[in-house]
Amino acid sequence: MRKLILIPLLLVAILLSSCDEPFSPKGKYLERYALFGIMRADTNLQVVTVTKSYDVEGLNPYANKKDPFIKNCFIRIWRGNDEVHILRDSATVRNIDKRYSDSAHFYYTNNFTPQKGDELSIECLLPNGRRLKATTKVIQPIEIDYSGTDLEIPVTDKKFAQVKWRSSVEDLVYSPQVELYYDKAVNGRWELHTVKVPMKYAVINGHKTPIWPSPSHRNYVQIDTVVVGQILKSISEGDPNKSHYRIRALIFSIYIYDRNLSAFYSSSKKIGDEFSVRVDERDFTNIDGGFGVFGSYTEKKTAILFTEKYIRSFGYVPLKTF
Amino acid sequence: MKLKKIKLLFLLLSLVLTSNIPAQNTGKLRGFLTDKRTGEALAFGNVFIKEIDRGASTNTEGLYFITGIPGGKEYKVTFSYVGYKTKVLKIFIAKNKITQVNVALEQGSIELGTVEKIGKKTVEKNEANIGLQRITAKQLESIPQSVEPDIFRSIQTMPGVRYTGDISARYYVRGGASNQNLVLLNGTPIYNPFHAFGMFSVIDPEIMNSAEFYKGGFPAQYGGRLSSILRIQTKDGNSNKYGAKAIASFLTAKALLEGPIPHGSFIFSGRRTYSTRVLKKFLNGNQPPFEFYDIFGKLTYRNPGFIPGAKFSFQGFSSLDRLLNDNPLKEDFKWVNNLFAFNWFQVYSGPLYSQFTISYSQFLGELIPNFSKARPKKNKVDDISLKMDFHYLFDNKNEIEFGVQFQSLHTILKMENQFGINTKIDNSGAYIGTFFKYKFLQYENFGADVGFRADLKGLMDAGDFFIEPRVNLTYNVFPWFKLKGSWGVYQQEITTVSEESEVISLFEPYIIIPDYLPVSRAIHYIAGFEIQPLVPLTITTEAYYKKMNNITAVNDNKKFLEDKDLLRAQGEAYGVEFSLNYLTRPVTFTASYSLAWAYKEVNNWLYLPRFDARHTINLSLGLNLGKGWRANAMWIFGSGLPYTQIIGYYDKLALGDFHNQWYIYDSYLPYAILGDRNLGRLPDYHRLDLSLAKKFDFKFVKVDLDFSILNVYNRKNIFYFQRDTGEIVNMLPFFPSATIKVEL
Repeated sequence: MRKLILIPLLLVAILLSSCDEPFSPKGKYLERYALFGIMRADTNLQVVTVTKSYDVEGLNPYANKKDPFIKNCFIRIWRGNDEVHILRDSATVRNIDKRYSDSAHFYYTNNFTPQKGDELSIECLLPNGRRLKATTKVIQPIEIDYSGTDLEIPVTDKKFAQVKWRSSVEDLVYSPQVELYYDKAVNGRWELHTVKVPMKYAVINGHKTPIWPSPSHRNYVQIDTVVVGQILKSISEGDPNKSHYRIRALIFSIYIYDRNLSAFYSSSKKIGDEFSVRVDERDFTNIDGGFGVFGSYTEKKTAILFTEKYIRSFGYVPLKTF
Repeated sequence: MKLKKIKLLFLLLSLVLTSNIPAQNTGKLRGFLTDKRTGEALAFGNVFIKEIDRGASTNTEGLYFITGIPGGKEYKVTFSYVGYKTKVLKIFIAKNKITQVNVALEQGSIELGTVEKIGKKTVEKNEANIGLQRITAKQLESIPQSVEPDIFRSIQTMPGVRYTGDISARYYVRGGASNQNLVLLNGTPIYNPFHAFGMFSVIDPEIMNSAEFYKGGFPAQYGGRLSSILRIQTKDGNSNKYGAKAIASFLTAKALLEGPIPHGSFIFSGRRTYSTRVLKKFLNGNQPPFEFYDIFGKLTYRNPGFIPGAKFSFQGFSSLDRLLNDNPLKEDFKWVNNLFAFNWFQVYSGPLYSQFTISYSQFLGELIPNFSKARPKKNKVDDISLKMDFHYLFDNKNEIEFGVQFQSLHTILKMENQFGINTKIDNSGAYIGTFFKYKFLQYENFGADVGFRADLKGLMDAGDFFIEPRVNLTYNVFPWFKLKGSWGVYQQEITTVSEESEVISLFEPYIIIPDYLPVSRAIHYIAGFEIQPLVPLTITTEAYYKKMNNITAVNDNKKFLEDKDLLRAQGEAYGVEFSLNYLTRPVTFTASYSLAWAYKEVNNWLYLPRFDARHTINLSLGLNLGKGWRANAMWIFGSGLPYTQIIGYYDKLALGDFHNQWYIYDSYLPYAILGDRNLGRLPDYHRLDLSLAKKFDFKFVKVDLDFSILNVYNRKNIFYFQRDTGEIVNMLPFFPSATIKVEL
């Protein structure tokens, strides 16, 4: 019996000396490649980056100080089967990522504006002979759903003004932005001004915090009309000459990500919850032969106007034409 | 081919039925074994007649039935149950009659810690029950607790059962996924039986009377899952006097009320969280704003004047978990389980008893996005079931059991995957099935449980007209050496759509398997032996092979709406388990070792699932120190679980809102590149838990104090590592906890 009791005690004694074991989650390093290209339908400047993977001592990837950008790639973009654009390399000053000491390198073309519905292909020939390929389709325009969209402010029976839209493609990510457009008389001349409008204000950790529209799958955006009133009031705060302000409209600008960019955005932002833990989730890529994304986005704009009475209630001048 | 099988079946059936030669001049003894103080059924107790070397175990209703007793004689019948004083009664057995004797046993004194006088082995010499573990409420008390006593956590310490983290009560049985385990509360399925990210089960151990856990080879009355069955039977409530219990742990407070009603009893219990601070240790310092409660109520009615031999039970169970963020930029969660059931247990005038159950089980899980980027998620499961089982006992000890089951299941799932792709599934199905089994117990050294389950109408179209044969055998080579074996085919038509890569999962939705996939099926082969060289010592060994066909895997490469949510996968598991039990009055010692392999194949890619542990050792020592003191120690070892290694990093575009900035030039963050799935192995897992408990028995009040320490030597068992940073997240550190129970 005594021997039986001794067994676990003996085990404790042995194990107390080995409570922590060295462990590295890393396996053998294998070189991989990444290509990022997001085609904009609102400009003729298109930019692509190509990098290779890297490894570091330990587990802090920020310890890598060597820019993984791959020079001397031969990159072509096709629109359909006919039109091809060859990208050149260049560099610019780093504004965000300061890990690397040299400039931010990239490939570009300034002679290509994708159109809605375009089928685009990219091929990148790396200096070592490997190829990265991808295709994407610029998304068709969305349609404003006027049955769910308010045309003017104030709205009746609701505390918010809403713009709703519909798309023939599901699961897209939309990035809306709402701005108040107004004119201000300066030295006798009207100057155009804009101010961003949050969806609402919320008290977070005891502070009044604006909740801005952000990219999501929602096919609508709602703006608290109280917030609109507050913004309208704030633009002339301290200025007794309210007639120096001419209010135009609330302008809704919606970026529509294509299917590849939408999926990439969703996987990057880990849209879900903060408590679930996924240890080896898949990384979205549509790049054949590597990581990254080749996608595009387009833009749709619409407006909600103000009633004359509403504008005059602030002392401003209404301007319905825009 | 089908006709041939049916002919064979009928031939077998007629052989079986004609083998029961009517016994002249024999009598039968039956009755209920109950607790004298509470009137609760004593499940798995033993009744034994030494003169004829014959006995029976009580079932979960406390019913025992001994047939074929030479009549016209008086016998000394021994009634025995662990922790209770053994009773020996002189009972006259009349010829060709059923003698009914209900016996109430008195609990043993705290000081003596009474043990059972008759071993299970004496009574169940030829019971074909490989893979079955029985747990009583008393046994649950002897396991060191992590905050809350939990039936699921006690299961995790059994050989062949694995878990992937201290924080989770989810369990994996013999290489099967967690969705292959069926949990039944009084015969009614619970689909998501977990509180708080799977940390605890929703079933409060205070309401539990007994549990049966089949690790495999489960007999024909159970179906619908591929790997395991956990059947929990609740208490009926004290039918003799009113009583109340109040229990507090660091996490929850709970109360239980019970007492007699005319011709029956009631029991109501409720538990809710009052602080979640203690869970910080479970969640790496993160204190989630969640709360949960569960309530249970049961009314039992037995009135011989109404229907002799009948027992009616009405029960309701509800559990709610809520995660409410006070930040509108974060999403909220809600999980609800609702169960309602009516149960009619009937003992007839002949050697027959039946069980009729009609039940409704609902699970609802919801994500409410608020102003977060998340989209609403919803999973709703509505299950209406009707079951009728009949159990007939022959004079030659053989038994027949058959039954029918109707099930209507409706599952709704609305969710998005990690790439933001929506899934909307709304499936309904109706199941009609029947089972039949014959238990050969007439031979001294041989026992068999042979039967089949006929799925006449499946939840899925592909599940129609399928026969699941089941065979369990036992052969006593020597009185101290028993050979056991099992073979069976199993079918499952529901699954969960949750990623295997989720080590903590908030949303694990159940759906009927979509019709683009075949039905999941498994075959179990189990063989083993049991040695009892000394009365208190039992050594068992079981080897198993399990082949799982057409199981499901979440399509983690679903990038677009047209891609399927689930993929067809195959699974294979095999291993061997050894266990040793040494049970005496002051000391109980159990040791078990499992050697196991598990594989899963998806799209011709074979990998080890996360719960594949090669070696597992459990050592448990319980000491009854007298005067109400009890001490327990448990040491657990598991070889490292598979994980996916980091094979480098790349700079990934960190997208923001393009309205504010054009990110393409230099907005990049390092991102870990993972190698092939689960090729690495985490370091070995081990931990020692200790507990010390004291019972105080005052005149009107009983007080139980329990103090437990988990991970006594503060082993840093790795749970997972953060992919972004490589930071290692450990499981539970040194963790003391205490509970107090006051019983009136």
